[in-house]
Amino acid sequence: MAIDPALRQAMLDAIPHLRAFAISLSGDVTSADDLVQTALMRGLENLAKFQPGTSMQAWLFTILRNQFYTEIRRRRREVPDPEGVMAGNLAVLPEQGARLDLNDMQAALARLCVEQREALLLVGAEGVSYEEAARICGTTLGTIKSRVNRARTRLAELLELEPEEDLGPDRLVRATLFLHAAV
Amino acid sequence: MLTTLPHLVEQVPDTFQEPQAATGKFLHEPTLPPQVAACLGERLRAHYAQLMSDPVPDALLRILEPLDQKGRLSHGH
Repeated sequence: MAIDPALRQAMLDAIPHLRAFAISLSGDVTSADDLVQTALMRGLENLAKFQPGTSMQAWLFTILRNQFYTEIRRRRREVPDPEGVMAGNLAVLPEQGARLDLNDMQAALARLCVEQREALLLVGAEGVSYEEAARICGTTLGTIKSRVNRARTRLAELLELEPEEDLGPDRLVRATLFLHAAV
Repeated sequence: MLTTLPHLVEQVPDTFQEPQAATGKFLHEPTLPPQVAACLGERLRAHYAQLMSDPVPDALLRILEPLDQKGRLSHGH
Protein backbone atom coordinates (compact mmCIF):
# COMPACT_ATOMS: atom_id res chain seq x y z
CA MET A 1 0.00 0.00 0.00
CA ALA A 2 1.48 3.32 -1.00
CA ILE A 3 0.93 6.33 1.16
CA ASP A 4 1.08 9.90 0.09
CA PRO A 5 4.00 11.43 2.03
CA ALA A 6 1.91 14.57 2.47
CA LEU A 7 -0.80 12.54 4.23
CA ARG A 8 1.75 10.88 6.46
CA GLN A 9 3.23 14.27 7.32
CA ALA A 10 -0.23 15.64 8.02
CA MET A 11 -0.82 12.77 10.44
CA LEU A 12 2.52 13.41 12.14
CA ASP A 13 1.75 17.11 12.44
CA ALA A 14 -1.60 16.33 14.00
CA ILE A 15 -0.15 14.22 16.83
CA PRO A 16 0.68 17.05 19.29
CA HIS A 17 -2.82 18.47 18.73
CA LEU A 18 -4.44 15.07 19.23
CA ARG A 19 -2.44 14.51 22.41
CA ALA A 20 -3.26 17.90 23.93
CA PHE A 21 -6.94 17.37 23.12
CA ALA A 22 -6.97 13.80 24.45
CA ILE A 23 -5.14 14.71 27.68
CA SER A 24 -7.46 17.64 28.33
CA LEU A 25 -10.50 15.53 27.48
CA SER A 26 -9.62 12.41 29.45
CA GLY A 27 -7.55 14.05 32.18
CA ASP A 28 -5.05 11.25 32.01
CA VAL A 29 -1.87 11.02 29.92
CA THR A 30 -1.87 7.23 29.66
CA SER A 31 -5.48 7.05 28.52
CA ALA A 32 -4.79 9.95 26.19
CA ASP A 33 -1.85 8.24 24.53
CA ASP A 34 -3.95 5.09 24.10
CA LEU A 35 -6.62 7.21 22.46
CA VAL A 36 -4.14 8.88 20.13
CA GLN A 37 -2.59 5.54 19.23
CA THR A 38 -5.97 4.03 18.41
CA ALA A 39 -6.97 7.11 16.42
CA LEU A 40 -3.78 6.96 14.35
CA MET A 41 -4.19 3.26 13.68
CA ARG A 42 -7.84 3.66 12.69
CA GLY A 43 -6.82 6.59 10.55
CA LEU A 44 -4.28 4.42 8.73
CA GLU A 45 -6.75 1.58 8.28
CA ASN A 46 -9.32 3.98 6.84
CA LEU A 47 -7.02 6.30 4.96
CA ALA A 48 -8.83 5.51 1.73
CA LYS A 49 -11.91 7.19 3.22
CA PHE A 50 -10.06 10.43 3.93
CA GLN A 51 -11.21 13.12 1.55
CA PRO A 52 -8.25 14.95 0.01
CA GLY A 53 -8.43 18.67 0.52
CA THR A 54 -10.12 18.38 3.91
CA SER A 55 -8.37 18.74 7.23
CA MET A 56 -6.47 15.62 8.33
CA GLN A 57 -6.39 17.02 11.82
CA ALA A 58 -10.17 17.43 11.98
CA TRP A 59 -10.63 13.94 10.55
CA LEU A 60 -8.37 12.42 13.22
CA PHE A 61 -10.06 14.48 15.93
CA THR A 62 -13.38 12.95 14.86
CA ILE A 63 -11.95 9.44 15.07
CA LEU A 64 -10.34 10.09 18.45
CA ARG A 65 -13.46 11.67 19.85
CA ASN A 66 -15.64 8.77 18.75
CA GLN A 67 -13.18 6.35 20.31
CA PHE A 68 -13.29 8.35 23.55
CA TYR A 69 -17.09 8.06 23.71
CA THR A 70 -16.96 4.35 22.94
CA GLU A 71 -14.61 3.90 25.89
CA ILE A 72 -16.75 6.04 28.20
CA ARG A 73 -19.75 3.87 27.37
CA ARG A 74 -17.76 0.74 28.01
CA ARG A 75 -16.42 2.06 31.33
CA ARG A 76 -19.92 3.05 32.42
CA ARG A 77 -20.94 -0.56 32.03
CA GLU A 78 -17.92 -1.77 34.00
CA VAL A 79 -17.48 0.86 36.74
CA PRO A 80 -20.33 2.30 38.82
CA ASP A 81 -19.19 5.95 38.86
CA PRO A 82 -16.40 6.56 36.38
CA GLU A 83 -16.96 10.32 36.24
CA GLY A 84 -16.65 10.69 39.99
CA VAL A 85 -13.53 8.56 40.12
CA MET A 86 -11.98 10.52 37.30
CA ALA A 87 -12.78 13.89 38.91
CA GLY A 88 -11.38 12.69 42.23
CA ASN A 89 -8.15 11.52 40.69
CA LEU A 90 -7.67 14.76 38.86
CA ALA A 91 -8.10 17.05 41.82
CA VAL A 92 -4.65 16.37 43.18
CA LEU A 93 -2.72 19.18 44.77
CA PRO A 94 0.10 20.48 42.60
CA GLU A 95 3.62 20.17 43.95
CA GLN A 96 4.83 23.53 42.73
CA GLY A 97 3.19 26.90 42.67
CA ALA A 98 4.33 27.47 39.12
CA ARG A 99 2.35 24.46 37.93
CA LEU A 100 -0.75 25.41 39.87
CA ASP A 101 -2.56 27.19 37.06
CA LEU A 102 -2.26 24.22 34.72
CA ASN A 103 -3.33 21.64 37.28
CA ASP A 104 -6.03 23.99 38.40
CA MET A 105 -7.29 24.24 34.83
CA GLN A 106 -7.20 20.48 34.31
CA ALA A 107 -9.13 19.90 37.55
CA ALA A 108 -11.71 22.48 36.54
CA LEU A 109 -12.04 20.99 33.03
CA ALA A 110 -12.66 17.58 34.62
CA ARG A 111 -15.67 18.99 36.41
CA LEU A 112 -17.39 20.09 33.21
CA CYS A 113 -19.73 17.63 31.59
CA VAL A 114 -17.92 15.88 28.79
CA GLU A 115 -19.95 17.42 25.95
CA GLN A 116 -19.18 20.92 27.20
CA ARG A 117 -15.54 20.02 27.82
CA GLU A 118 -14.93 18.76 24.29
CA ALA A 119 -16.72 21.73 22.72
CA LEU A 120 -14.70 24.23 24.74
CA LEU A 121 -11.42 22.43 24.03
CA LEU A 122 -12.05 22.36 20.31
CA VAL A 123 -13.17 25.97 19.98
CA GLY A 124 -11.43 27.73 22.87
CA ALA A 125 -8.13 25.83 23.05
CA GLU A 126 -7.59 24.08 19.73
CA GLY A 127 -9.09 26.99 17.84
CA VAL A 128 -11.26 25.17 15.31
CA SER A 129 -14.28 27.02 13.97
CA TYR A 130 -17.72 26.42 15.44
CA GLU A 131 -18.72 24.81 12.16
CA GLU A 132 -15.79 22.40 12.27
CA ALA A 133 -16.43 21.62 15.95
CA ALA A 134 -20.06 20.85 15.13
CA ARG A 135 -18.94 18.45 12.39
CA ILE A 136 -16.38 16.78 14.67
CA CYS A 137 -18.95 16.35 17.46
CA GLY A 138 -21.74 15.34 15.09
CA THR A 139 -24.10 18.04 16.26
CA THR A 140 -25.51 21.41 15.21
CA LEU A 141 -23.83 24.80 15.20
CA GLY A 142 -26.32 26.11 17.77
CA THR A 143 -25.66 23.22 20.13
CA ILE A 144 -21.90 23.73 19.91
CA LYS A 145 -22.25 27.46 20.60
CA SER A 146 -24.46 26.75 23.56
CA ARG A 147 -22.07 24.12 24.95
CA VAL A 148 -19.05 26.41 24.57
CA ASN A 149 -20.91 29.26 26.21
CA ARG A 150 -22.03 27.13 29.14
CA ALA A 151 -18.60 25.60 29.50
CA ARG A 152 -16.97 29.03 29.67
CA THR A 153 -19.46 30.26 32.24
CA ARG A 154 -19.02 27.15 34.38
CA LEU A 155 -15.24 27.18 34.06
CA ALA A 156 -15.10 30.84 35.12
CA GLU A 157 -17.14 29.89 38.19
CA LEU A 158 -14.91 26.93 39.00
CA LEU A 159 -11.77 29.03 38.63
CA GLU A 160 -13.45 31.88 40.50
CA LEU A 161 -12.72 34.42 37.79
CA GLU A 162 -14.65 37.57 38.51
CA PRO A 163 -14.33 40.85 36.65
CA GLU A 164 -13.92 43.23 39.59
CA GLU A 165 -11.50 40.95 41.36
CA ASP A 166 -7.78 41.49 41.59
CA LEU A 167 -6.36 38.40 39.98
CA GLY A 168 -3.27 38.64 42.11
CA PRO A 169 -1.38 36.52 44.64
CA ASP A 170 -4.39 35.44 46.70
CA ARG A 171 -5.56 33.49 43.65
CA LEU A 172 -3.10 30.80 44.74
CA VAL A 173 -4.83 30.52 48.09
CA ARG A 174 -8.26 30.35 46.55
CA ALA A 175 -7.16 27.85 43.92
CA THR A 176 -5.78 25.64 46.67
CA LEU A 177 -9.05 25.91 48.58
CA PHE A 178 -10.88 24.95 45.42
CA LEU A 179 -8.68 21.92 44.96
CA HIS A 180 -9.26 20.85 48.55
CA ALA A 181 -12.99 21.22 48.06
CA ALA A 182 -12.81 19.16 44.89
CA VAL A 183 -11.06 16.18 46.52
CA MET B 1 -4.56 23.65 4.78
CA LEU B 2 -4.05 20.23 6.22
CA THR B 3 -3.10 20.67 9.82
CA THR B 4 -1.98 23.82 11.53
CA LEU B 5 -4.41 26.47 12.63
CA PRO B 6 -2.12 29.15 14.07
CA HIS B 7 -4.38 32.07 13.26
CA LEU B 8 -7.22 30.39 15.10
CA VAL B 9 -5.14 29.42 18.11
CA GLU B 10 -4.38 33.10 18.60
CA GLN B 11 -7.94 34.23 18.46
CA VAL B 12 -9.59 36.02 21.37
CA PRO B 13 -12.74 34.28 22.57
CA ASP B 14 -15.85 35.89 21.22
CA THR B 15 -18.92 36.62 23.25
CA PHE B 16 -21.73 34.93 21.35
CA GLN B 17 -23.65 38.05 20.48
CA GLU B 18 -24.76 37.12 17.02
CA PRO B 19 -28.29 35.75 16.83
CA GLN B 20 -28.80 32.47 15.01
CA ALA B 21 -32.10 31.92 13.27
CA ALA B 22 -32.23 28.27 14.21
CA THR B 23 -30.92 28.76 17.72
CA GLY B 24 -32.99 31.56 19.13
CA LYS B 25 -33.51 29.57 22.30
CA PHE B 26 -29.85 30.02 23.18
CA LEU B 27 -29.87 33.80 22.98
CA HIS B 28 -30.65 34.34 26.64
CA GLU B 29 -27.83 32.24 27.99
CA PRO B 30 -25.43 34.11 30.24
CA THR B 31 -22.46 35.74 28.57
CA LEU B 32 -19.20 36.27 30.38
CA PRO B 33 -17.89 39.81 30.84
CA PRO B 34 -15.19 40.41 28.20
CA GLN B 35 -12.45 40.72 30.84
CA VAL B 36 -13.33 37.33 32.32
CA ALA B 37 -13.70 35.71 28.91
CA ALA B 38 -10.28 37.03 27.88
CA CYS B 39 -8.63 35.81 31.09
CA LEU B 40 -10.28 32.42 30.77
CA GLY B 41 -9.29 32.07 27.13
CA GLU B 42 -5.72 33.00 27.93
CA ARG B 43 -5.45 30.41 30.71
CA LEU B 44 -7.10 27.72 28.64
CA ARG B 45 -4.73 28.32 25.72
CA ALA B 46 -1.75 28.38 28.11
CA HIS B 47 -2.85 25.02 29.47
CA TYR B 48 -3.20 23.64 25.97
CA ALA B 49 0.10 25.14 24.77
CA GLN B 50 1.89 23.44 27.65
CA LEU B 51 0.44 20.09 26.61
CA MET B 52 1.26 20.73 22.95
CA SER B 53 4.88 21.46 23.83
CA ASP B 54 5.39 18.12 25.58
CA PRO B 55 7.53 15.73 23.52
CA VAL B 56 5.52 13.17 21.55
CA PRO B 57 6.17 9.61 22.80
CA ASP B 58 8.18 7.53 20.32
CA ALA B 59 5.52 4.83 20.43
CA LEU B 60 3.12 7.20 18.68
CA LEU B 61 5.64 8.26 16.06
CA ARG B 62 6.50 4.63 15.35
CA ILE B 63 2.94 3.89 14.30
CA LEU B 64 3.59 5.88 11.15
CA GLU B 65 7.07 4.49 10.44
CA PRO B 66 6.26 1.11 8.85
CA LEU B 67 3.90 2.96 6.63
CA ASP B 68 6.70 5.09 5.33
CA GLN B 69 8.70 1.97 4.48
CA LYS B 70 5.72 0.36 2.79
CA GLY B 71 5.17 3.53 0.85
CA ARG B 72 8.74 3.49 -0.38
CA LEU B 73 8.54 -0.20 -1.22
CA SER B 74 5.39 0.33 -3.21
CA HIS B 75 7.06 3.14 -5.06
CA GLY B 76 9.68 0.66 -6.24
CA HIS B 77 7.03 -1.56 -7.90
